[in-house]
Amino acid sequence: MASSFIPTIVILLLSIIIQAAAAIMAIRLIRITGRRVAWSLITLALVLMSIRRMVPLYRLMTGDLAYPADPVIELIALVLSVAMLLGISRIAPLFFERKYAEDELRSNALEIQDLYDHAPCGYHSLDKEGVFVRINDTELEWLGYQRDEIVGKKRFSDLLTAQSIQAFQENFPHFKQQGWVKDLEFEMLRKDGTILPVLLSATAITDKDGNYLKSRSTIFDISGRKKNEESEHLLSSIVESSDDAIISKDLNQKILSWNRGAERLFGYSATEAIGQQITMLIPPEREVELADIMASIQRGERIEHFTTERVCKDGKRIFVSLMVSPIVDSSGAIQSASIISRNITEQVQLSEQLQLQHLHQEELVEQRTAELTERSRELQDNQQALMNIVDDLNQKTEELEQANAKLQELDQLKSMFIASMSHELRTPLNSIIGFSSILKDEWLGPVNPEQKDNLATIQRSGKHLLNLINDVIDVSKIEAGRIEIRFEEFDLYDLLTEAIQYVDKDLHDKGLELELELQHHELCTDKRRLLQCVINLLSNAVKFTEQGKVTLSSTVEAAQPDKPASVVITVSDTGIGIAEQDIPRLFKPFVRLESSMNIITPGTGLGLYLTRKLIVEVLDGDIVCTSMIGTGSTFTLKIPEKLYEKSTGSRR
Amino acid sequence: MKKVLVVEDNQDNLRLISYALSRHGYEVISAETGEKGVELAISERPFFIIMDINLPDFDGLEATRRIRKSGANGSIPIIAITSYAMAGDMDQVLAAGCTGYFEKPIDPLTIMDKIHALLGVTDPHSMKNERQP
Repeated sequence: MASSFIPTIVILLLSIIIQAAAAIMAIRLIRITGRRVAWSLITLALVLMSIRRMVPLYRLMTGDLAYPADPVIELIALVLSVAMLLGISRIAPLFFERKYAEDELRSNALEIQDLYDHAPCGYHSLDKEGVFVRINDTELEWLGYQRDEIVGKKRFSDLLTAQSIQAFQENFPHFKQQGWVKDLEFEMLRKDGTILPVLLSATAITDKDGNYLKSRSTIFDISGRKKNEESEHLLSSIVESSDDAIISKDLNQKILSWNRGAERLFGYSATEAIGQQITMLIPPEREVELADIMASIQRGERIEHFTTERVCKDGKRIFVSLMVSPIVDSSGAIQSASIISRNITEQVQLSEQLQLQHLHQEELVEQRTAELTERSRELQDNQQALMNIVDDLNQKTEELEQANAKLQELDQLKSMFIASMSHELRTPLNSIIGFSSILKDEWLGPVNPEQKDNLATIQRSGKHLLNLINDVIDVSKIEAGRIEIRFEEFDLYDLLTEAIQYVDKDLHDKGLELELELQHHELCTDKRRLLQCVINLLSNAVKFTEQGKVTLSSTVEAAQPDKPASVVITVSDTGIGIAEQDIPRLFKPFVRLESSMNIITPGTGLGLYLTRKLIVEVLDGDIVCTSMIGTGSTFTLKIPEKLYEKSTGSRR
Repeated sequence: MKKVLVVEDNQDNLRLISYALSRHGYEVISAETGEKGVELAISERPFFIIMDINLPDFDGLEATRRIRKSGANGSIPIIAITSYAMAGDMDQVLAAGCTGYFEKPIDPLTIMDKIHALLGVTDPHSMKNERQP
C-alpha cells in the first residue's frame, strides 16, 4: 500500500488542479453567459466528477483491485474535490467580482468617454453665461478648434454668424428657463471662417433648487441636409415649374405628390389630388392597364412613351403619353412610382385625322384607280370600237373609191354614149331625111304623087326619129349635168315668129286659127333652147286641138328690186284639155295621158319633161299649166330676159 | 366651074352634099381622110372646103389647122360639119380656123342657102337650077 500511495496522491493533486482550473473557467463563463448557465454546468461537472470518483470506490468495495486505491483516501479525495469546487465557485466570483466590478467601472467609464467624445454628433455644455464648459471631439473637429481654445474661453455665441447670434440670444434665456430646446437651426462659424449649419437640441442640468447649472447640448451637422434641402428645393421647383404633369403615387395607387403641371393638365389642385387614388384619373376601360404598369414597376422597370387616356376633373377625356418610373427608397425597396404625363391629345387627334385622311385618300385612290381602270377599259373598248370603225371606214372608203371609179367610168361612158349617140344615130338619119327630101323635091327626076307621098312619109318618119333621138340626148345631157348654154342676144319677136314657122303648116292643115300677140324685146339667153320649148308647146297645142284656135302671146314683166325683168310667153289652145288630176303628172317623163288622140299623135312623152327641164335648168325660168277638159289648155312660161354668165361660161 | 372640096368619110353624107353642091353648079372633089383632104386642099385650091370634123385618122380640126398653116391656101373658107355633141366644141372649131359650122343632120334642101349666107356670096347657079324641070 505504501508504493501505491504516492501515485495516488499525485493523481489526486492533479485532479484537484484540473478542477480548480475548471472552476476558474466556470467563473469566467458566469461573467459571459450569465450565472444560471454557469451554475448548471458546474453542477454537471461536479456530478460527472463525482461519478468518476465513485467508480474506483465501487471497485474497491466490490473487491476489484485493478486500480490500487484506498477507499478512505478516495472518499476524502472525493469530499475534498467537491468542497473545493464549491468553495472556489462560491468564493472566487466574490473575489473576482470586485475586481470585475472595478474593471467594469473603468471600462465603462472609458467607453462612456469614448461615446461622448466620438459621437456622430457634437456634444457640448454651456454654463449660464453661455461659455463652453465641455465639448466633444467631434464638435471640435467640425469647428476646427482645439479643446483648450474653446473650453472656458469661448462662448457659444462667439462661434455663430451674426444672424444666428440673434436667434441664440433670443433662445438661450428661454432655454435656461424652460430646461430644454429642440431642433434649433444655427449657423456656426468654423475656425477658418466657413459656415457650418447645425441643428441644436439641449436639455438643462439644474441644481436641487431648479437653478440652471449647465446644458447638455447636441449639435448635428446639417450642411448635408441643407444641401439636400437646397437641391430638394431646386428639384421641387423643377418639378413644379415643369409643363408636364409630374405625379407620384405609392404602391396602393395613392397620390403622394402633384405638381402644377398636373393641376393644369387634370384640373385638380394639389390639395384636392394628394391623398386620392390615382384611379380617379383613369377611365374605366383603361384600368386593366394599371396591373401591367404596376407589375413593371415592381420589377424595377421603367415604362416609357406609354400612350393611354385619362379623365380630367371636368370629365374631359385626354390622350396622354406616360413615363412611369419606380422610386427606390434608401433601402433599395420600391415604395412609390413617379408618373410624368404629357398631353398628346392634339397629336393623337392629328394622327387620327391623318389616318382618316390617309384611309380616305386610300379609298379615294382605290376609287380613282377603279374608275381609271374602268375608264381605261372603256377607252380600250372605245379604241377597239374606233379601230373597228376605222377598219369599216377604210373598207367603205375602198368600196366608195371603187364605186366612184365605177361612177367615173359610167360618167365617162355616159359622155361617150352621148357623143356617140349624137354621131352614130344622126348619121343614118341624115341619109334617111336627106335622100328622101332630095327625091321628093325632084332633084333627081320627077316623081308621081304616090311616090311623093311615100317619100314624104319616109322623110316625116326620119324627122320624127330624129326628134326622139334629140330629146333623148337632151334629157341624158341634162341628167348628166352636161347641158351647155349658148348665150345669144336676139329679139323675142324674131324667135316667136321662127317658132310659128315650124307649126304653121300643120296648123293650117288642121284648119286652126292662129292668134298672135307678140312684141319686141331684147333677150339675152339660150335662143336655141327657148325656141325648142316654144315649138314644143305650139306643136302640142296644134296636136291636141281639133278645132278653134291656138294663141301665142308674150308680155314683159318689169324688173323688181330683188329680181330682174322677165318675159312671159303664153301658148293656149281650144283643144281637148287636161284633167285636173293629170296636171301634176304632166311634166314627168314618159307620161302619156290617156286620150283618144294618142293613137294618132305619136309622142315619146319626153316633150314636156324636156321642155320644163330646159326652162328651169337652162333658162332659169318656170312653166305652169292650166286646163279644163273640153275647153282647152294654157301653158305659161316665164324666163328672165337676161341670163347671166357664170365665170366658167357654161352652166351645169 | 368652081371646085368645092368635101372632106367626109361617110359615103352617104358625101353623096347628099354632092347633090346639093352640084345642083348649085359646083364641082365636087372629095377626100375620105384628113390627110388626103389636106393634100387636095393644097393641090386643087378649091373655092371652099366642107370639112367633116369626125374623120378616121386625125380629125377635121387638125386638118383645118394644117391647111391654115400651109400658107398658100390659108384663106380658103372652111366650113365644118359637126355632130354638136359637147360643150366647147364650137369654140374649138372656130379656134382651129374654121370659118363657120353646121350641125348634123344636114338638110340638103337648105344647106346651100345657109352656106352662101355664111360665105357672103350669092348663089351663082340658083336661078339656073330653079328653072330645071
